[in-house]
Order: sequence, then C-alpha cells, then structure tokens
Amino acid sequence: MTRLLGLAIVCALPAAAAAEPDAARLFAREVRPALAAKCFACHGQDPALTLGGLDLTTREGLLRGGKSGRPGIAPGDAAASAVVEAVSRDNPKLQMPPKENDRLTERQIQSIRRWIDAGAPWPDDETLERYRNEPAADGGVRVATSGGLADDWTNRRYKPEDLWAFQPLRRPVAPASAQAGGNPIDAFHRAKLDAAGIAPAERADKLTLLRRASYGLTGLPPTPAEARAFLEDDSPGAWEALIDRLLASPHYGEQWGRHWLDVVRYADTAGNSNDYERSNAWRYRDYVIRSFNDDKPYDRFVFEQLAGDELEPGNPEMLVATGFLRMGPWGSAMLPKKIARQAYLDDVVHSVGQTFLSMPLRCAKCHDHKFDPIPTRDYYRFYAAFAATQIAERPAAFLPRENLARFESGRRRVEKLKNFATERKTALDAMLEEAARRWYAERGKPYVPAAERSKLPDAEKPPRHYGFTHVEEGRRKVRAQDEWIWTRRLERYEPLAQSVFNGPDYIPPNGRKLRMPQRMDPEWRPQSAIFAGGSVHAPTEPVTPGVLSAAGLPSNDEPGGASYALPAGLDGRRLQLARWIADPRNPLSTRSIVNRVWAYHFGRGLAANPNNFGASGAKPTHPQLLDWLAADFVARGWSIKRLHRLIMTSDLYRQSTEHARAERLREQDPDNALLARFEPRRLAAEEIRDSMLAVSGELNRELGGLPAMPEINMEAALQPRMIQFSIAPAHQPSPTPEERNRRSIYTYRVRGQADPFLEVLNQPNPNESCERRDAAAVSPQALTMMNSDAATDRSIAFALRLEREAAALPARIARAFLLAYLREPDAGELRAMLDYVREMQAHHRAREPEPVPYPTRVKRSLVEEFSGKPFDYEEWLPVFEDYRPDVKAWRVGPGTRALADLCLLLFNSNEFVYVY
Amino acid sequence: MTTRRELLYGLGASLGAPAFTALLADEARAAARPAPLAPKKPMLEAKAKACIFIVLEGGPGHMDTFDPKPKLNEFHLTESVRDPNQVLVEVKQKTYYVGSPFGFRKTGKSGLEMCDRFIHLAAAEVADELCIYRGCQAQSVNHPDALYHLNTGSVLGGDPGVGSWVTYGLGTLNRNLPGYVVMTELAYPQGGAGNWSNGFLPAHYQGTTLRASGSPILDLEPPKWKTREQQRRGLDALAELNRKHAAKHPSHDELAARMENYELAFRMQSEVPDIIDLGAESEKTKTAYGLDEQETRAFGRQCLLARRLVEKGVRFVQIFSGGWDSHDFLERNHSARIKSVDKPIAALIRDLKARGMLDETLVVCSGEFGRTPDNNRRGGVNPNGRGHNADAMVVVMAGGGTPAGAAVGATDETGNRAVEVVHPLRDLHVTWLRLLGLDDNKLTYFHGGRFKQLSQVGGQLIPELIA
Repeated sequence: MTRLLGLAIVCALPAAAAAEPDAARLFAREVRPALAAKCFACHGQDPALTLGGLDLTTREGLLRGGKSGRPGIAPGDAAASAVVEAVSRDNPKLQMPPKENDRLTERQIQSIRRWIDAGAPWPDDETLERYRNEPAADGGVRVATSGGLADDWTNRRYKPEDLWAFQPLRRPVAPASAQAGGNPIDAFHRAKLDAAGIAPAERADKLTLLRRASYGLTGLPPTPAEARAFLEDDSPGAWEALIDRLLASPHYGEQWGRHWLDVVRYADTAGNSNDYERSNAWRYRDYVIRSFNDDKPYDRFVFEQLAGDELEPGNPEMLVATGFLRMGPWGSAMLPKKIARQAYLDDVVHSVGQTFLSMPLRCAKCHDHKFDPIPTRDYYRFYAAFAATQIAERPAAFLPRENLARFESGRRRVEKLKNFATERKTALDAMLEEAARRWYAERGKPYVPAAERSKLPDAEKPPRHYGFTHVEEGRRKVRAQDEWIWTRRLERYEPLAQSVFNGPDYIPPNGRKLRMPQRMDPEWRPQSAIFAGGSVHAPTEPVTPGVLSAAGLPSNDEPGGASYALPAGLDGRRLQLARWIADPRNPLSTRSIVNRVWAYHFGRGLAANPNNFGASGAKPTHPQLLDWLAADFVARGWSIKRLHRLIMTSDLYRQSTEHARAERLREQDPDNALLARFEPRRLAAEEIRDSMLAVSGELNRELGGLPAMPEINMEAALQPRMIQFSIAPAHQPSPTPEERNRRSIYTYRVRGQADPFLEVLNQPNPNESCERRDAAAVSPQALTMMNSDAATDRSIAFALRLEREAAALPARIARAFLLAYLREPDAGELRAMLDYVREMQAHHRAREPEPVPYPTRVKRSLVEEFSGKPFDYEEWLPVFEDYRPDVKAWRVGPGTRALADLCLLLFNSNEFVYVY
Repeated sequence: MTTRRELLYGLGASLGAPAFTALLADEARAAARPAPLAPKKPMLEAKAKACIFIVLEGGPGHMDTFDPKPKLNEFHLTESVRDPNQVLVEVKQKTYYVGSPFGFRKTGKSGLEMCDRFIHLAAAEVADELCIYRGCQAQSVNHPDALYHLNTGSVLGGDPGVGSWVTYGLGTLNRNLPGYVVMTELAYPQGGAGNWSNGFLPAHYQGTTLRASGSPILDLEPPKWKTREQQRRGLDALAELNRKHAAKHPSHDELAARMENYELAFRMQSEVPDIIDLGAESEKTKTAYGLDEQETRAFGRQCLLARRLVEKGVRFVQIFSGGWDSHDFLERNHSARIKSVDKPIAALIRDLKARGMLDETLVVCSGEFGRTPDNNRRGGVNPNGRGHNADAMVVVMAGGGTPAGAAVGATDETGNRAVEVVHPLRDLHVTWLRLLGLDDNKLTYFHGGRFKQLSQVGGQLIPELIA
C-alpha cells in the first residue's frame, strides 16, 4: 500500500494541478502531523511564543516566513524552500528542530519535499478532516482517546508497534515444543533462538545455580551447609525443592520488597527543605515485605496501596498500605499552598502511572503526550482521581505481626536529645528577656513582656535579638529547630501511619505535623480542570476523574461516554481507579508487573524499560512470551511466587553465562537480546553489605521494625547539612552491633544523607523511581571497599570467625574461601594466600593501631543568616556514652589483622561481588 | 603523565610477576573499550576548557550587590503592592519596600556598578574582567527546588548536575583526579548531594566532594595502621584472585573495568593529597586569597584549590558559599558574606589571569534566585531583609569567553523583575555549555524513554554573554 501511494504521487508530479488532491492528502496525512508534532510548539501554536516570528500553522504564515524575511516555502520548489533546508539539516546554521534527537524522519522530510514540489496545497479544515479519516495506507493507526488539546493530536496516527502495550491482552498459544510437556517459557524462547540459528547456552553448574537462585530470591548468599545439602541432593525434584525453600524464607520478602521500594522511592524522610522524618514510614516498608512473603495476589496489593483506606476503613494495615501515596519527596516550606498541593498531586499521578502502568505520565502534564496516546485531558482526569486525597499521619494501631522491639530504649534516647535542646533554648530565651529588662531599665521605662511587645513601634522596644551575640543568635535557632525535630521524632513510637484521607484541601504551615483536621466541610468537592501549560494558575476546561482512555478498558459499566469516568464524589475515586488498574483485562498493569519480575531475574525486562511501555521505551524482545506470561499470571490468581517458580524452573533461567560459541554470539546478538546465555550481574549495594555481614557471621536476621541505624562513615555522619534555619542533627548509630548489623533494607534511609557505603555502590537516589540498578564501576567504590571502617570492621569480624571455626592458618584460609565463595581454594590460591597473610603478619607486628575514640560531643559550624558569619555550637552524641562498637583493629592482635587483610581481599574480589 | 607501566615498575619488587602480567592484560582489554572519562573533543569550537561554578546559597540580593536600584531607597518603608500572579512565598501581612543599605559606585574602565562592600572585585583589573548578567529568571522560590534548578536544570532533584553533563561531554584531562569536584564552605546546601549527583547519567560523572578537613575524599586513605606498601601488596594479591576468576568468565567484560578501578583509586590516593597540600603555594598567593584572615580563610582555601584543580585538568569545580538567605538584618548579613567572598574571588580571577588560564576557564557566581524589593515586618520590627524572588537575580561571570567588563540585561526600577535580555535559567545553562564547546541539543542521554538534556526541553543561546 505504502509503495502504491508513493508511486501515485511521483507519477502525478509533472502536472501540479492533477497532483493537487494527492498532495493535499499527503499534507493532511503526513506533512501537517509532522509539523504539528515537531514544529508548532515554537512556531505558531502559542502566540506568545512564536520563535523567530515564524508561524507554521497556516499557509500564509509559511509563505510569509519569519523575521529573516525569507519565505518558509517556495511552492513548487522544495529545493529552494527554507523549511526543507532546515529540516534536512544540511546547513549547519539552519537546523530544525533544534534538538538533534527531534529530527524529522527521512520519510517525513521526503513528504514535505513532495508536498512543496506539488505546489504546497493547504485544504480547508473539512477536507483535512476527511483525508485524515480515510483508512490508513501506511498502517498508521488512530487511537480513540478522550481527546487532545488540538485536533491534530487527536487525529494523529501511531505506528502499530508503538502501541504494543495498549493492545488487549490475549493469551498466545505457546509454540509446539511446549506441548511436549516442557515449560512454555522455553518454547517461546527456543522458537526465537531457533529462528536466529543460535543454540542456547549449556545449563550452569549446580553451585552457580544455587548462588543465582539464593541471591535472586533472598539477596543473601547460601551458607556452606546449604550448598553441601543442595550439591548432594541428586533427587529429580532438588531444584524445585530449593526454589520452594527460598520462596518460603522470610528473606524472600526482604529482597523483593527492596525491588518494590526502589520503584516507589522509599525513604524514611521527606526530602525538600527540611527533610522531615516520616517517622512511621517503616511500617509501609514492612507491609511491602509481608505482602511479598504472604504472596499477596498482586491485584489485592494494588488495591491496598492505592485505596486501602477506602477498601477497609477500620483496618489499620490498610492505612499503612496507602503509605505508597506518601512515598514521593515533598515539602511545603516557602511554597505557595497551591503550588505545594500541585507538586504532591503531580508526583502521585506520575508515580502511579509509572509504578502500576509502566506509563510515566509527567510528559502529559503541560501538553498532549508527544509519543503516546495520552492526552493532557487524561492527565488531569487522572489528577482529579486524587484531587480529594489529602496527606496525613493517621492513627493506626500496631499489628500483632509488626516488630515493636526497642521502642522504650529508643524513646528514652530521643527524649534525652529533646530535653538537651529545650534546656539550651530556654536558657537563651531567658538571657534575651534579661537583656530586654535591662533595656527598659536603662531607659527608665516599665518592662513590657515579650508577648505584648510585638505590636509596639520599633523605638519603644528593644531591637530584635537585643543582648545576643551572633553566636547566641545562631545557637538559639539551632536549639529551637532541634527541639521540634526531636519532638517530632517521638512519633516513631506512636501508632501512626504515613497515610491519606479524603477531604478538603488543607496544608498546615510548614508541613511539620500533618493531621486530619477535626472538622471538615462535608459539602466540599474538588474542582478539577486542565491547567494550561501545567500552570496551577491557569485552569482551563473543567474535567472529572477518569482513567487512561487509550487503554481501551472502560472503568465502569455505564454505557457511552462515561465509560472511562471514575466516581466524582468525595470517596471512591481511588478505589475505582484501583479496580481499573487491577482489572484482569488492563493491558498495561498486567504486563507491567510480569515484566518487572522478569527484569529482576534476568537483569533486563522482556521490555527493557519496566517503567516505560510507551513508544519511547524499548520494545519487547519476546512480545508473545510477555503476553503469555501476563495472561497466565492473571489466570492463575496474580501469584508472584507462582511466577517465580515458572520462570526459575525453565531451562532458560538455568543457562550458563558462558556460551559455547561466545565469539559468534557476540557478533550475532551483541546485546544478548535473545537470551542465548544468562547475564551475570554485580550484586546490588545492599546485597554486598548483607553478604559481608552474613559471611562475617555478624548479620542479625531479625525481621522488620524501626529503622536500624548502621555505623556510617563518621565524617559523613557528622557532615553538616542545611535544613531550613539550621543544620540537621548528626547521624547517630544504634548502640549495639546487633541493632546496627541488620539487613540493609532496614537501615535508616535519609533523602538528604545517604549512607556513603551504599551510595557509592549505586544505591539509587530515592527521589526518582528506579527501574533497574546501575552497576557502573567507579574508583570511589574501590576506596570504600578497601579503606572504609565498614569494610575493615566486617573483615575483622570475618577473621575472628575464621579463628573460632578453624585452628591452623591453611584451614582458616580454606574456611574463608568456603564461606565467601562456597568452594575450597586450589593449591595455587592457597599458597598465594598463605604467603600474603604471613607477609601481612610481619607488617602488622611492626605497627600497633592507635585506638580511635568515638566523640560524645562535637563542634559543628554553619553560617548564621542574621549575621552572615559562621558560628559553632556543641552537639551531643549520647549514643557514644554507652556504645558497644564492633571489634576494632586495636582490640585484636597482628595475626587477626593479617587474616582480616585476606578477608578484605575476598570481599573485594570479583568472585564475591558478581553473581553468575 | 606517568604511564601505568612506569608506575608499576616504579613500585619495583612489590609487584609479583604473574600479577603484573595480568594487569597488563587487563589494561589491553580495558583499552579496547572507550573509557567513560577519557577526554573527548568538544562538539563545537570551545572557548573554555573548564568551569569554576560558585554558588551563593540562599540567594543574595541582586539589588544589594550588582544591580543598583536607587528608586528603592526613595520608596524605603513605603507599602508595596504585590502582583498576585507573581510566584512568591505567601505573605499575609502588608509588605514594604526596603532600600539597599549599601552605596554603589562605578568600577574600572568599564564602569560596572557594584555595591561598595566589594573592595577587591571593584579593583579595575578585576572588575574589567567581569560580565554581570541581570536578565536571568529562575522558577522556584523554595531553596532546594531552586538550587536543584540552578545546579541540575530541573527543580525535581533527580537530574545530573551541570558538572556531570560537562564531564559526560568532555571527559576529564586527569584520570587520577575526579573530573567533577565539589566543595562546600561549611554545611552541605539544602537539597544536599542531589545538587551534584550524576542523576541518570552513569556513576562516572558524579560530583566528588573534596572535604576541607579530615580525609579530603571519603575513605581515600587506608586506616592509619596500614601502609601504602601493604596496600600495594594487597592489590597485587587481589589482582591475582581476579585474574583466575576472569579466566573462568571470558564473556564477562565488566570484570576488567572493575579491576582497573582499583588501580585508579590507588593512584588517586597519591595525587589528591598533593593537590590539597598548599605548601607549594607562595605566602603572597595565600595572602591574596585571604588565607591569613579568619573571615576569608575557608572560602579562600576553596578558591585556591579550585585554581589548583583546574590547573591539573579537572573539568568542573563547584564551590558553595552558604548563608546568603537574608530575610532579616540584610546589612549585617551581606556585609559579612560579601567580605567572605570578595577577596578570594578577586584573587581567583587575578590568579587565573596571571597564569594565562582565565580565557580558558569559565568562572560563574550565582545564587539560586534573587530577592524581593520588599518584605513584611518580621519579629515585630520594621523589615530589614528580603524575600525570595525567582523573577530577577544576578549572575556574575568572568573568563571562559564571556565579554569582559560587560553588563547584560536589566531589571525594572525596583528590581522586582528582569525586563531586558530576559532569559530563563535554562538558556544560561545552554550558554555555559556552548562556552565549553558543548551543544545542549546534542549533549543528550537516553533515559526513562526520552533523550534528556541539561536544559530539559531545549533552550536558546544568550548571544550577549558570548564575547
């Protein structure tokens, strides 16, 4: 068809008049949509922003040209037309669109040339509409949506392959070989490989598979005993039994909870100006972990996080679940209320789209989506679904399953710090008031108490901060901030949940304490509208709540136009949205979760951008397999554990990372898109820390509860960081090794202060959703893994363990290899390591480490804003008064330190940090 | 530059022969891949090779520093009327104009006006190097959002820093030092490390903080009870373990890169302490930067370090000066703050010039936004400070291809809004990149389904800022 159309136009060229209808059609179908997509935004669509004075939205504008005076087109002569020159990008001084990546396709450029050569006909709107509605010659398809801001957008055509994720989910039939009883995953996989003439890699050895499965499901290394048991188990069901055992481990939920928390951007603080603690966020973290461990059906998981409060208003766990809606960074300091509210809603809309639908929605906030069938109208309909959602800490009784350990000791610690701040603040206030009395006395005037002075003219009262030096001014601010920071942190021990409620807009000043108002106007209903250009100050057309119309899935049973609408009352908006997302027929959400699970197993999704199924995301490499998995997943009750079993029992999952014909494979499939071999991966930051703790024998495997405060690099812990008016309190670790050496998912996650150990190993910034961990190797990683106190402490603990568990040095080295690598050293390795340890012994005998004390009081400095001068104050670190440190180098002899050097090497080695 | 081979030989007997061979093999393998930080040719003709970006955190008053507003003094303490559509921090009380407490005068041959508290920048030979831009507009009036905007191009705080983009585009000229170095006067700014993170760019382009005290880079040195020879021996033993491992995993390319980083880190350990050791600098230089005075010591040291880093091939150095957020007691605050930066910045410009580096080094100094011409009564007294204002600000530049002695753009009579040569911050970002030989529209990275760029949506050059 395409060729025919092109041919017709080419043949018609010599006679311009005869070409007219075809050229006009070409204009309607190809030229105008291209100009609309790539040029109108800056050239005509917005009269306030007609760059270069050039308006491309009318033929007159094109003929007139811009400020340069040169016409945009020369009808009949494409070669002489400025527009053609610009879009073909041959002239370095005239290249449009400005962004290289926005360049028009060759086909679009050819269409423009042909249209101009044919006289550049510009039919009237009615004709345009008629041409647009003709059946597609080129396979481009229109998508029915709630409608764009402009007709061009509404009527535009999409390449069918860009719409894959919007297509209804059908269950493809697995290729024939599956009927022979194999795993359908293998049938799909092999069919593709066979077609490419590539053989799959051999099955990996048992030890490799054990390590792969253990890390994959629990994020922890197998113990030597587990390894032995598995290696010795020759029964036909050994592999399946291993998978079942790992899935039944509570550590499974920790590992897969971590993946989910990456996507939803979990942190224990709110970020922004003050980085307020979200003192009960840990309850949501534990809820996620429990949900994975319980194999909660995914549709239920969606419901609870989006609308738990509406689903079961009396169930505290459901309030905890809506913590999902509180995960984004947010603050209201110094922001107009409307802007702060908009920031929250924009964040939630984008996050819900990205998390559950793999459809980032931020792109449609200011304009209809450039690539995907998501009109701005849908963005604001989605936005309206949350327009009654207000954020608050809500009372939610603790659950029997929640870990409430160390509440009392923690509360005492926080109270001590609060009192410390209060005492100092009170003393400074008294000093100020004393100065005020003096001021009045010196002038023979009667003293006026502070509260009554504020309205008096400046001359009749002491100047502000009278009697303070700039140091005292600064300290007063720090103590006042500290007082309420610690007061607020007492909420850690209260039965509260970071949650939401439905009600009128409210934003308490400063966002310090978010509580449901006592009284709310029952008549209040949100008024929602499309914000022009994304500006909250420019509401235009009103909208009602709704879902993404392009998904082709009605959100209710009502006939006609309301089928994509959500309830417009105060309650029920989110619940109905959740029903739509968790609908078995929803083409986006079903593919989304299956693809995510796949991506964590294989290092890459079947569609390589788990957060983006749109036209700009990567296309699925195995679309049939993805669809089959999604359909099967839904049909079998949305069970994620079942999906793991299905994936992990496939031959595909058990392939080696090495391929028999590696060089040829590198040429044929350099990106390993066909999965002819398994892709190795570096352990994630948390897995490295947890593995070091596990191997050294220090890991406390306790589940859940208040955030653990690990010992982080002391310089980073004490690094001053600005919050409003002050600097944030220093990081203080938990007082005992048991409390500190918890799994990394339980460690305190502060947006403004990352644990440098985890951060350098590519733990993502929690302000952005992370679909896939980066593992770029950078030199600071080597510095941290070799030199940090954390690495040193783990290596000493590991050495002490070896000394406990084996007597002679060779046996200790063998034990070290077994614990770290699950294998014995070969003769060469043993010899080399023996030499190394002995050499190190000599070094250590020559140098005795000096103890490094922990400070209990530290001086901290910042620039005070009243005076513009630096000042310092003392911060109290009471935890170090009764602190139980890990075993330090100065507590052990040279022999242990030398053995610890070996342990450090093992931790740093590639064999330890990569999983195959 | 010492080659790796020489370096290894220099270590003599500490390195066992097998490990040595293995390292060379890795080197060969590593060389086959383009190193992410290898120097790259600029896309366009570059005026500058490096950038020193000084951020005055908190937002200095443009009308109290480089943008005189005599009208404001006439209006002093008269009631002001705010435009309800201007994005400002909500104030319920009445607001009053606040005149600048400082006098202004023309400086140098160029006659650039600046407040009389600037003494060193006002010297003709320094002032005549400056380019004062008064037309820029930010977007947010909230510190962290605005800082993120200035430093990463996006208010959201997840995007790569300007320095990350620059090192991504140009690589680094000295692989033994980080390509992008960040120093803070005292505290980290609001928004913290998000201001210099690599965002979605690979971790190679992350800003590295160079600390004023303690270990200059976190974990740079092994514990005190370990020697460098000991560590070298450890690295050799590690290389041997890794070599054996790599032999079993020939398809796994990443292994060599990870090993290479241990060697790089080892070299960094010797190079970084040299950089921060100011012993080689003359007393005259140190005095010029104000290292002998309490008020200027901290910031002066960082300016001097910035020059040393750029000299050694670092692409992008960022310095944060804190505490400019003068809602109250503007006179006290700005007097002290100006004093803390005036001499060091002037010394930096003179020093760069004397060494012939100013032409190739873009120096930028800016707050995250400007300030309002008015304020409400605070603490029960007449207003004596200013609020946050994203519609007007001042950005001072020097060197790197900016026009010397130029004032570009203007604000209205009270300094409330930019009115001439008005550009959003993204255009300034585009212009800085252009000075460094980078085209914002081509300096893109595919992430989250689209090609991202520093300016977010593309921007325009500000031709007035290019000499």
